[in-house]
This record gives sequence, structure tokens and C-alpha cells, in this order.
Amino acid sequence: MISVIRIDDRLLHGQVALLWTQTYSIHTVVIVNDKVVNDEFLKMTLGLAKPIGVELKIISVADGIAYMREQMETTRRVMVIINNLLDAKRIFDELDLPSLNFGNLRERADSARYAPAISLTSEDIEICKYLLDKGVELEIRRTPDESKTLIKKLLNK
Amino acid sequence: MLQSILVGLISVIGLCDYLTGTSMIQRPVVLGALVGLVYGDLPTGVIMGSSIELIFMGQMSIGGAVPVVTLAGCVAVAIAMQSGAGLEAALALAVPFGVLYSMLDNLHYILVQVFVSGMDKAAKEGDYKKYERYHWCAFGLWSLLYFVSTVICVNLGSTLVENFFNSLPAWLMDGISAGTKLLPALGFAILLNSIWNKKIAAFFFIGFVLAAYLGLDTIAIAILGASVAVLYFTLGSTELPDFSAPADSKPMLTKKEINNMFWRAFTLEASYNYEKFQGTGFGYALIPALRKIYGDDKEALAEAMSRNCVMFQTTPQCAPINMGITLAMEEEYSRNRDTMDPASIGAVRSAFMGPLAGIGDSIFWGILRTVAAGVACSLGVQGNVAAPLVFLIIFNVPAVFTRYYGAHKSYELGMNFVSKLSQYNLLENLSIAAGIVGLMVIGGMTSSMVWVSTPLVITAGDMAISVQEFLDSLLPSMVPLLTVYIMSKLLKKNIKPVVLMISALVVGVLLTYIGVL
Repeated sequence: MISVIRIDDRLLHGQVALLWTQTYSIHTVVIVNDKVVNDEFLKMTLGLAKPIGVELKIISVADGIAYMREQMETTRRVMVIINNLLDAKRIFDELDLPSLNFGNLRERADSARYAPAISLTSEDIEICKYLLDKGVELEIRRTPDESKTLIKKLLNK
Repeated sequence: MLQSILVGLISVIGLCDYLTGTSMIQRPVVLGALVGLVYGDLPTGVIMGSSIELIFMGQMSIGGAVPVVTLAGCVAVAIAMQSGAGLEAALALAVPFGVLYSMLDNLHYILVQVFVSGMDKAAKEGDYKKYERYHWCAFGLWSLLYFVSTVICVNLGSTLVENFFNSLPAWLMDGISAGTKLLPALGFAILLNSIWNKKIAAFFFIGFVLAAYLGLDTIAIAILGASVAVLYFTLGSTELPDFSAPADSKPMLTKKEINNMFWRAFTLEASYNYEKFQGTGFGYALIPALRKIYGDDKEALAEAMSRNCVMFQTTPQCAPINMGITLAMEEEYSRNRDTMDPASIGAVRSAFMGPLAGIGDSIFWGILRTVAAGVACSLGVQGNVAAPLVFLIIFNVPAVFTRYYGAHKSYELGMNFVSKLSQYNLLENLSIAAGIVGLMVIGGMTSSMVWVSTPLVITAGDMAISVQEFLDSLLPSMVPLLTVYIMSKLLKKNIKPVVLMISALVVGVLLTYIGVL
């Protein structure tokens, strides 16, 4: 089953390795990203952060969708990490998942900050609205013990 | 008034945590002692500080997600000492003041943006003097905010508390006191949840038995744990990568510049903000080395400063490693400007910072700080005034070593440093070894630092059986162990730590009232 799907431009780091994998008793962390999968250096650095006893997979978006479809039927607890909203759209178009967690999205050109660690561009906002229309819950939580901040509420302001 | 001003200064000393590379001087076990000095009662300050430390032990600052700020500890101790309301009041106050101070922090993060955009502009212009000035201004602003708020809080707070706590009935105070004794269990549960790992889980129970049955104190268990961790390396077939510098290297930077970076890296979080996180401080640390690399080429220096004043976030103690690699790459770029893409510098830094934090947060925040605090608090709650020093030494010796060695070796090896780290599963083995010490110490503290006992006596005819004695005969420290277990389960159900803290106080009051605690 897919326990968490998280968008985080730092991919695998302290918040994920230390808190999320433990709180949700994650068996496998899957980094789904077309760039990382072809970058040996990135793969090596991400491998360094692998929490003990947790399996780490790094796969492309297309493979990620197939893998997730497969895992949705099992009892293994999988955490999926992506780093941009375009990939989120591709995934949520294919799979019926209830919720997307927003961890960290840094400031970029023409982005605006919506929460301490979340900045969104106008393109991001379009995708957020699209996902919200599909009925996906978009929630901001850097660490699992924080309260959910709903993107829906932020956009309605 | 004078005393509250001194406490205000102490809160600024606590804030200097961010000037000294998260040296943990803002933890209650340190600040409590300083407040004790102000009120002329050092041992009481140490006892209160250590007790609050135990409660806040699970509060970690991971990846820019700042929890209830621990600095509140010093205010709570000050109010308790000024109003004469005692330890229970300090413990109960630490929670609301923690919330108050995290709001204060949020205010600071809004105001600090002025300096952050100034630094951004200065970097683009290559004006390093202005950049450095803003870095310090940002910290100045933070200090001022804390100083003023602390003075106000201590003055208002102690008047309120004097009237409030002294009018509370004794049964309620006893209840709160019992409740606060449950709180360390929450901290241990948070820590356990973050470092628990089936492979080495047995060490938690070994630590527990050493304390519960053999009565060993935390120091003894920490030493045993460290010995086991060392054995894990020496008896296992763990090979260590060769970190010596390549013989043919002709570095542009000398020890002097790298040392300068090492010192400046301590101020990494002085201008911390929610736009670039540690990025502004990262740029600050690199300035002398960049000036040497780019010499008189003002334009190149400005570009390099801009390149290194971008979003950055990792475990502060590991940041010098990232800085060294960045400098090695900047140097390479200055030599091959036509062939190398400068964007690769940022790409490597940004690829490495997350994973480094994954491992660094777990070792420094999760384990090293826990062991240091565990040992120090076991001394501190008995009023041993060496507690704050013991705490700072145990934490900072490995931390400073990592910083120094990390800065120099990562510069010498550049990107190869990363591949060396990935050799022979070095980091994974290091986390396992550290995890062993951490779990043993938390196991021990579960027995020795969660003081829950029941005065219940069951009478059957002429026989009177003390429930506590009965439980102890089954399994000593059974109640603390269960409490930690329940807390850990509740946390996994996603119940917030603040909610659990308040519930623990309420449960304490209720159970005391009906005579179970």
C-alpha cells in the first residue's frame, strides 16, 4: 500500500529518513524521478541517507507508476517521494490516490511563498487546482507531528 | 528588575547556539544553571534545568522544522525562582512558554527577510562587506527580540504565577507534579520512534535491564553502549575508506582559509530564514576562500557569492563537509572556466545536503544529544552542578571533530569525498553503532528517569499488599516501560506531542486525586 506520497525538493533527508519512515513504519522508500534515475552521483548521495532497515528504490516516473499500481495491492508500506508537481500530475492522472503531502518546495523564479517551506509558481498552482478538482487532499506537513495545512484553504484566501 | 535583565541576557546567550554551530547551549540543562546563578541558587537552577531537559528531550529541530523552542526553559526556571513557586510551576510553565517563544520565532522570520534580501543583493554586487554586515544584523535583530520578550515575560510571568500557583489547592499541585513526572516518558517515546530499528532493538532492553535490575546509572550504561559500538567496528570486518589527499593535488587554498571557513561555519544559522534557510550563512562562511580563489576578479567573485547564497539546509555539524566540497569545485571552476558548467557546483551541493542531513540529524540530534543529555540529567536532577558542562563536552567534542575534519578532508578530496563515504557502508555502520549507544541509554533512562510509582495498598483481611512492591516483584520499572510504550503507540497514531503533554498533566492530576499515583 502507498502510505505516503510526498513532494519534497530535497528528496531524502532528515525529516524523511528520521521521522516519516519511522512514524509510518515504512518498508520501502521510492524516489520517483526521471532525472535522478540517470544520475549516478545523485543516486550515490541518496544511498548514503538510507535509513537502516528501510529499502530504497530510485526509479523513473513511468516505472514508478507501474510499481505503485502493483504495491497498492500489497500490505508493504511504501513511501513515495517526488520533487515537482508535474510528476505529481502524471502520477495522479494514472492512479487513484487520496492525498499528497507537501514537504519542502524552495523558492524559484516567479514563485510565491504559501507556507514556511512551500513556495509555488503559477504553474504549480494550476496543477494544485487540477488535483483539488480531482478530489485529492493536498496537505502541507514537513514532519509527521505537525498539523496539516490544507493547500485548498491557502488558495481560497 | 536587574535579575530579569540578566535573564534576558541569558536568553541571548542561549540564542548564541546559532552562532556556535548548534552547540546546544540553548538547552534547558545549560540555561537553567545560568538562571540559577542569577538567583543565587546554582544547584536549584541545575535541578530545574535538568528536569525540563528531560521533558523536552524529544524536541528536535529537524531540517528547518523548529519545534517548541527550548529556550523557554530558561524563562520558566526564572519565573519559578523569582516567584518562589518551585519546580512544579517551572515544569508546568515550560510548555506554554515553549509555544509563546515559537510564536516569537515566527515573528523574527518575517522581520529577518529585510536582511535576507539585502544579503541577496550584496552577493550579486560582490559586496562582501555589506553581506557580512547583514549576516550579523540578522542575528542582532533576533537577539534584541529575545532579550526584550524575555525581560517582559519574566516580570509579568512571576507576578501572575505568584498569585496563581500559590492559590492552587495542594491536591492539584501534587497532581501536576505527578503528571510532569510522566513527561520524560513522552520525550523518550519520541526519541525511540525516531531511532528504533528492529536490527538493534534488543539493545533498548539490554539498557533497560542494566538500569532496572542492576541499578546502573546512565553514565555506566553510556560507557557500556559506547564499548559495544566500538566492538561492532573492531570485531566486524568493517574496513575504513582511505581519506588521504591525492598526492598530485595543488590546492589554491591553504590551511588558513579552510580554518577560517571552519570558524565561520559556526555562525551558519545566525541569519537563518525561511527563504534560503542556512544559505545566507553558508555564503558567509565561504567568503574568505572565494576571495582567495577569484582574487581581483570582482565579477567572478560576485557570481560565486550569488551561487553560494541560495537555499541550503543540512545538519549544522555536517555543513562544513558541504562547504569543503563546494570550495573544491569552485576552485576547479576558476581553473577551467571554459569547460566546466558552474551550475554543477550548486547541483552537487544540493544533491548532497539532504542525504547528509538524513544521517547527520539522526546521529547528532537523535543520538549524541540524547546520550549527552541523559548522562548530564542523571547528574543534574541530583543537583550536581557539573551537569551542564558534562552535557556540553559530551556533545561538542565529537561535533567539533566532525566539523574540523569534515572541512579539511572534504576540501582536499572534493567530490571524491562523497564516494569515499559511500565505500564499505561506512555511514550505515556508523548509524548502527551510534544507534546501539542511543537505544541502550534510552532503555536505561526509561527505568531510571521516569519516576512513576503508586502508593496504592490493597487490603485483603489482615494482609496489606503494596501494589508498587507487587509490580516491582514482577518486573522492576514495569510502569515506566508501559508508559513509554503507550506514548510511542499514541505518537504513531499521529497524536501531537503537545496534546500528549497536556494529557499527561491531566492524567497525573486525575490519578493522584483518586489515589493511584
